[in-house]
Amino acid sequence: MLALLLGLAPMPARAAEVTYALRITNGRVPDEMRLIRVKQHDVVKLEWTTDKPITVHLHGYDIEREVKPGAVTEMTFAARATGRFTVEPHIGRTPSGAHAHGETLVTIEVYP
Amino acid sequence: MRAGLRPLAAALLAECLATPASAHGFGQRYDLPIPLSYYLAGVAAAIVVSFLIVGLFVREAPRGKTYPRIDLMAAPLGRWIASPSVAITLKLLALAAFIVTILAGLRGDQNPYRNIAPTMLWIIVWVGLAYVSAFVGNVWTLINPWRTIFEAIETINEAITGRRELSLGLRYPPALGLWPAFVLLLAFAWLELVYPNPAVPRLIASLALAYSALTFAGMVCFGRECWLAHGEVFTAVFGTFARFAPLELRTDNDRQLWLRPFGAGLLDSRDVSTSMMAFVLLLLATVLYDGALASPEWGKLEEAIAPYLSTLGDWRLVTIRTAGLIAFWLIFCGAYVGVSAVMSAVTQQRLSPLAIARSFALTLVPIAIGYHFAHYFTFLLIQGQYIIPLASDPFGFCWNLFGTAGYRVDIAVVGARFAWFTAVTAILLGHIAAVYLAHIKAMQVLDTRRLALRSQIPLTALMVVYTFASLSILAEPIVERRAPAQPLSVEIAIPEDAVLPEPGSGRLQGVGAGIAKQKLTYRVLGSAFHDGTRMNAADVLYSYAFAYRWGARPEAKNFDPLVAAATAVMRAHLLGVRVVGTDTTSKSFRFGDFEYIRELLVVDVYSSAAPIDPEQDAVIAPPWSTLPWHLLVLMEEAVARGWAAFSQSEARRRGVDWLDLVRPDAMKERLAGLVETFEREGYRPDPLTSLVSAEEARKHWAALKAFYKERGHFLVTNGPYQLKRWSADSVTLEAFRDLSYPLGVGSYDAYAVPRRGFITKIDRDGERVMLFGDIELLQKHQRSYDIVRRPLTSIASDELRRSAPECRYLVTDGEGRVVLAGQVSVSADASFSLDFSGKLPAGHFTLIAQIIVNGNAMNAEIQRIPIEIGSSR
Repeated sequence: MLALLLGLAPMPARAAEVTYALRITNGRVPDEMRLIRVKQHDVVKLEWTTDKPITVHLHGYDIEREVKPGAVTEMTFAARATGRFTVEPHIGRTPSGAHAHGETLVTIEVYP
Repeated sequence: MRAGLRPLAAALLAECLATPASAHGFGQRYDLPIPLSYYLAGVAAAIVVSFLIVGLFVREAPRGKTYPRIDLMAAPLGRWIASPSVAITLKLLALAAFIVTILAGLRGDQNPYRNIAPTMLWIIVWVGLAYVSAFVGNVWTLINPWRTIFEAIETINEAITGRRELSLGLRYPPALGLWPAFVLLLAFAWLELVYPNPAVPRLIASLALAYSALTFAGMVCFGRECWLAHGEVFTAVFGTFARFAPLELRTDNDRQLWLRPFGAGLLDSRDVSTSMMAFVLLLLATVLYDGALASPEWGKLEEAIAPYLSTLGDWRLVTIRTAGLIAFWLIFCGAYVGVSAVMSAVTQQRLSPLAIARSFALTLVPIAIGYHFAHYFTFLLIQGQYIIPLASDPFGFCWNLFGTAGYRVDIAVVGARFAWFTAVTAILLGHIAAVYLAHIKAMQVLDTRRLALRSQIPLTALMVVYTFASLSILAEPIVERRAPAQPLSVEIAIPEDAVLPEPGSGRLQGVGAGIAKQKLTYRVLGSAFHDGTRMNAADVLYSYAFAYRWGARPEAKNFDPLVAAATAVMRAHLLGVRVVGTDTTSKSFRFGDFEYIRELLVVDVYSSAAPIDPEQDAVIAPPWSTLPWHLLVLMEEAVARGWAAFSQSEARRRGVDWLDLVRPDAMKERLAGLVETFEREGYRPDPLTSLVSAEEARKHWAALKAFYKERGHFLVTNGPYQLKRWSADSVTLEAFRDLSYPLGVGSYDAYAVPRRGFITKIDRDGERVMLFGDIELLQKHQRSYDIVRRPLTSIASDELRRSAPECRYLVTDGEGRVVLAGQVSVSADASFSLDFSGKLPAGHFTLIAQIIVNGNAMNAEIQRIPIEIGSSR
């Protein structure tokens, strides 16, 4: 059944490449940048800058980047999976060894 | 013992505080809310279907308390499924999974994603087994590891002491009913939904051991089957779901396997106890509560309440969510018991409210299953994949038992559309099943059909409310309050089959790969041209080609400066056009002898202009033509042969006539000759050879010929106006109803008689300019209209408001550059006041102004007014 469903999913070759500039100040990005909405199969490029060193983690697509002040860090992915994915900073580890996450920086919604 | 527990407790507390956010048992959800259209369709269908079922279908319900079923033991496959070897294999597999889970929890890596315990409990058992129970059958009675262990101990005991029964033989108090399972379900739901970090492997193992101790104690006290039936929460939950399932499995005395209709088990004739009813409602409440917790509305509620609980510190959220869980159950229960009271009242109290509530409780189970499926199925398909790598490495010790440890979870295994569709479908089917079962139940417990129907109105209404709540939770946020972020840049790959006309020849050439700033998808209504042909891809593409044939190469013979100027912006930005397809399915109809076909061309236009706003973006290079391709070709041929020119200025320059398709008979005769020739040849120009066959071209030329014969001119356009009569100094247009034109009937009335405005007086007062003027009004006499010109000051205020006069202006400096632009509406004294103070530097300027009426800017009189701004400021 899954194979059938996968076969039905359209896979258009054409896609947009969308670039967003995300500036972290005090562990937050500006309010108007906290929700990013793209279409499935778009290539999403996030350009991170920060005032303090921080590790950002995009859930689902599972991409982690260390962002350092004074440089632009790129996080690029092809939005092949639909859904709502959050980007959270990693703030060390929990005692059990899992990543501890801080407050959500950005929510990325990928619509079909 | 104490020393051992304290570090664990400290660690668990630290976990809680480190991750304040997550509420679910385990795993991440990536769901998008259901779109509004799915939501509304789901709600509407639920209501309509409810009444269809109640009103129409269930006229003759089976009144007996039996249902059709097939004995599967009669078939070899059925016997194999029910055979002891299969049963023992399943039992041992489940037992092994149980032991591995506990060992992994106690000894394995404590990262929840590297340990099999959280995935096994929260995803495979709690979600996966629920589906197997609901859609296959009650496998839990077979594989329940506590039963397996206890049976094994009993067997050993029998071998040693010769006595099988391993029980103190205490009598289970009947009043206790299912309440132990109820309390345990509440605790389990609390752990899943409220406890801040329920995915810690060691916690799961410890709780599993504690629960095992409780279960064994219960079985020892009251007997194995007695405790499993009343106090084993998983048996109760999966057993409830399994009443919906099509397989009926009995293992008590001799093995039996029956196939029955879905939901038949919920019509069970055995009495449902009050505790069972409470349990079913708790099940329903917890699945919906899980969804509600994830909604933005709940977040807001928590934010609103939290400040009042500041004394609780870090346990504020836990307190709020615990209260929420219990409140949810109380609301569900209260609503249900309340409705049962109403049902009892409208059925002449044949049954007491509580008896009614107990009888119908199980009919709510399909709603719970439907919502459970809607809420968790996509989650199971995505998060359930973690079991693949974890099966090879259950403890996080970098093992690779089955070679699957390197498997990476595919989050794209199902898409959002699949998730939305299954969610709404599951909820609807659950709702339909519930309404249907309730109806049959009513026929069984109430003696007349009339009473049964009456009883169903309040219950069906309540079910609609439950279903409405389920759909609403899935659709949250229904109203989006946040605007999405604006991207820095958007680059769109132009597909290789998009075309762009070649300058000069207009040949449509493939673009190859390229990058555009935006893609606009137009759905073009294939409007009818006046000669009966219909706008299609060739017309749309040829109008682009025309711009490149006559406007792109000034040095060529085929060039007109006016065409170049009019198409300059379009040619500067157009990167490619792609006709995606034609959609003729929607909204085609016929009435009388009139057949209306709504044909939509879907055209993608790629442009190098960055998006500004949709309306503005859309006008740069729209795929639209007011002339059919064959008329454009005819005009081109006339111009190319030197008979005329497209623009007046070019005609003057070349010393030829300005192309006129209507008046000069000599020109029309020449054009008619051309049409004749083209029809014979089936002529179509170079850019269209692949799009239009010679046969089609011939039809187009024939249509134009016929049009000329009938109307005496060649002005074939589209839209609801046609040229009817003309003389040297006037033309008469006839308006008709053209359903194929994008503007609907009536929408062109504002311009049917375009009214004009005139500036009559100018007052300068320092840096302020006052403009006075006249506008045209329409006076109707029977079927004719007179246009009368009146000063603005003499027009009644309501008439003035309807005319909506406004003044639009530009200010240019000494070198003709625009320095200011704007518009003002009419002031109370029926003048326009333009105040330039502070807006312009000192110097001489020209104010270019017009008064326009009802938005008609086409032919207003434009005034140029010199103004001077003093340097005294």
